[in-house]
Amino acid sequence: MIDRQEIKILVDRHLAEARKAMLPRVRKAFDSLLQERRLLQPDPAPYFAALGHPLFELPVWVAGRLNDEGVQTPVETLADVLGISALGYLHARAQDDWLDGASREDPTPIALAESLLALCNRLLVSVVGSSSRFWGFYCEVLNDYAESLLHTDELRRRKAPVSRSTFEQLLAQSKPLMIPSAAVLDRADRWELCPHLEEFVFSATAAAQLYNDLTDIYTDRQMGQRTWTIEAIGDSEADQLWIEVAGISEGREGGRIQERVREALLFHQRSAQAAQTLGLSAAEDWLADRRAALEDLPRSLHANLRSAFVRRIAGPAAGQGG
Amino acid sequence: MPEINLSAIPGSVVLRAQEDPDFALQLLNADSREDALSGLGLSDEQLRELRPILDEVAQMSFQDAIQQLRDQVGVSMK
Repeated sequence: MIDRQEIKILVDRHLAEARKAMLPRVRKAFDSLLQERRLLQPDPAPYFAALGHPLFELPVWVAGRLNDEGVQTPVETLADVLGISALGYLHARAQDDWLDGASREDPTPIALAESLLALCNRLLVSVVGSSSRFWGFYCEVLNDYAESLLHTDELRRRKAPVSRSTFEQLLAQSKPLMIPSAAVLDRADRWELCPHLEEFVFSATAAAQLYNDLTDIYTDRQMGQRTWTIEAIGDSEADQLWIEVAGISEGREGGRIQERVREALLFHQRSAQAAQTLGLSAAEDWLADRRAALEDLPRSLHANLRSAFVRRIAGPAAGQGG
Repeated sequence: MPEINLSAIPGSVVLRAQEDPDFALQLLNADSREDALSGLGLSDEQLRELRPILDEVAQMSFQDAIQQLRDQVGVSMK
């Protein structure tokens, strides 16, 4: 199985090739997106963070599992699959940037998304050929994704509260994350594993999304975006969260933050179960790292708050009065 | 993020916080704040003014703290 260093090399190769295939204006937008997402840069950390989606490792884990039962995925095929992961992910982010944009007057993110989808599909053909099973699945996934985009937009416009069930419905937007690994399964004729892959992607993304919604709570409120986390914590109570975190100590947990972490851990547990059913033994370290990071969130937040407070209170701008 | 008027914090408090991070942490926690402030010889009026400012600093610090965690996430769906 290829390691993280090799994965990054293969991903970067595809990003560089995609960049070369683009025309100047789209390329410029692509460069901004890459910079924003910290891809095609020397630091490997953003590619493999435990709290991010295992975008580049998941297809490698799936290929490793198939390899264990004697079905090999050539490195060149795996390289194309990693390209699909990278370009497909950036396609969705470009669309999201347009949806999040204040005016939506600038069509550049949509032009970039079109270009990325075309490049991604070219790679998909090289992996699955004309498999009607795969392309039927692909159409279904992208239709669910499209519907979910409209649902998100509608909720944002109405500023409607987001319940747990709405949160779960909106996760249909994560379904395209299945595509690269589904292509590996299709090629190996192990399609019956797809439902477990879907469960893994759903629950792993839900856990990560809850973490993101918690750490984005102030940004989301500022932008007027509703999330299940904001509903659960309470809009006005969000300003008082620091009191709970400041009081975290041995035997004293973080109240509402701890409650959100518990929800994320439940989804994480589901994803670990799905990984086990799928036979993704190579995912074990990642799952353990993610679990530790989630469990540690209240303590990390407490430590960060302490150092930020000391920095602010004793900062160079202070001390002029009294 | 709005700027806080740190200059409204008495110099004695700032000086102590600069020299003694434990003291700064006592100011952060509601359970220990009053004890920390009691020995500084501040007037009732100064204390009344200081408490909401410390709350504001803490709230801003919390936003810093949460942003720091956000920055650790790599590939995300947001």
